[in-house]
Amino acid sequence: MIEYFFSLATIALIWTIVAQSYNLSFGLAGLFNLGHVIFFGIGAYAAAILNTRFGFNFLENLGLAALISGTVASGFGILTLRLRGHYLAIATLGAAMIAQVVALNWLELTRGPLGIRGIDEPQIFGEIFVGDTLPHFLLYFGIAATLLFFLWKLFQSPWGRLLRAIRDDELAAIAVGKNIFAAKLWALVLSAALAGVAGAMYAHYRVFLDPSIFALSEIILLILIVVIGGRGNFWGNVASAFLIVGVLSELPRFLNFPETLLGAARNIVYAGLLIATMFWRPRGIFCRRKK
Amino acid sequence: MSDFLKISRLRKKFDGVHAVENLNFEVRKNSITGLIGPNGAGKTTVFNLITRFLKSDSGEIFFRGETLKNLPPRKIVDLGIARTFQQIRLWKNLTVRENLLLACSKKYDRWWDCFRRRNEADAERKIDEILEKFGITNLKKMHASDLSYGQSKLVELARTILTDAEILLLDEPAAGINPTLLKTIEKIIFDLKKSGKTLLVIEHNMPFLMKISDEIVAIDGGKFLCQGAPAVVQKNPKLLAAYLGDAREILKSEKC
Repeated sequence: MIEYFFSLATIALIWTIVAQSYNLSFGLAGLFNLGHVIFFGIGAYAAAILNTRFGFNFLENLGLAALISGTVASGFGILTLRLRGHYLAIATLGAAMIAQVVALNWLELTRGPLGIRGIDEPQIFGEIFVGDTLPHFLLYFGIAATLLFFLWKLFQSPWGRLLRAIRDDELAAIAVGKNIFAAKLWALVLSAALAGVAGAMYAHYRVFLDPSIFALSEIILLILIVVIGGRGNFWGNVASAFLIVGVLSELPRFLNFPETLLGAARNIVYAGLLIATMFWRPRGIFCRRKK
Repeated sequence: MSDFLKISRLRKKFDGVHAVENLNFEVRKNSITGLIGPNGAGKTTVFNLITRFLKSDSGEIFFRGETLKNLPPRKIVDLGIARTFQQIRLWKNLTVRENLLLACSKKYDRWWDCFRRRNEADAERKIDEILEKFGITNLKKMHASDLSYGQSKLVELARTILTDAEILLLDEPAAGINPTLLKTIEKIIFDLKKSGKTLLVIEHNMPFLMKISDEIVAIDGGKFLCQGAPAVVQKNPKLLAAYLGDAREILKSEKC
């Protein structure tokens, strides 16, 4: 049983990084980007391919996944960041759909629906962290803590303040001489690089990868975590990722729902939480209520 | 230097309607110039064109002899032109201090600066000084969303001043505020002039504007009407016609 909890906690840690990276671009900078899973997926596929075909190890793959996702995001950002609001959302959602189609059909690279098997388990410093779920959890906890510390520094910095200003009113930010395009582009690139790292962690942890990583349900899960945690709220999103991925996603199983109904029951739990949040805590359940 | 800010043959059209048409005027250095005209005359459009929030169809704007053509709005601020808005635009989810800090410097505006040791003491000192001068020190830690209309006006003005621009474009600074606050704003504007700043002010409160301005530029339908000292411009028949229109003819005929 304890193995199961560590495994669940490890997955929750990965989703904490993805959600927090999305919180940087969507929560802090206000970029309503519905294609964030692209960067998570690219990081995962980059790690899977680099590991199984070229023999790159876990640690190298973390760096390379960040680099590849960040580079793709910079091109993606230059093309889409002139768009605003709904237009940006539609363009990025379209890009996510295209990514899934590419992953499904580019058989030479991704093996399509068959997926990529035989990805090495996460390891670092030789064999120390190989083996059971506890060493994996400890390794992932260390990586997540480092990345979250980096993100927390960003959130607290004057740059984080600038992103919040851009989210609230772009014109006012321009009126005091800020380069809002550069700030938004960097927000997207950094958030993509972090999502790429999380993707690599995911691929190595699951040791198998298929195109479902780009699915719409993953995008909705990300938005759910950030909305429940509160847009731009750092610790709220950490708590929200653990609550949703670590607890609520498994709630139907704890309540002994039949296996065939687990997916539907999970969606009902998510929808109920989202509706309740919209009614009583529209700024997120971990934010103070506005007087 | 007469052509500190020079507007030359400026044109802007929206869907076939001329918002600004062949407009020419100049603003002298270290002066307060009022920009007046009836509603829809194109005053705010002129501000948007100067600050490059809008691109002109033709014509040029020169600041200290240099054209502003092809510059992005943020570069206009770097050159020394800053503005306020007709509708107050504060960052509502930030505190007054954070609103002002953002205008103070660009020193830590890059993400990698988060690893540098920060020293915002200079900026904090400037903020404390301006808040004290404006008599709103008590608002420093408040969120902008919790401010009253008048307080928001003062904070927006403070934010614009903290950009350290040489010329400030103020869009209706006296609109919707009480007489006490009006006096405060009047004093702030005079102090700004004393400190060497140049001001271009849009305002519908004529007694206020006539009192503070060294010069008035009047426009109507995007076209230049007249420019001169307040006392002279007030009597200009073109301006009276623009503001009173047919009413003036009716009043004349009633007198007869």
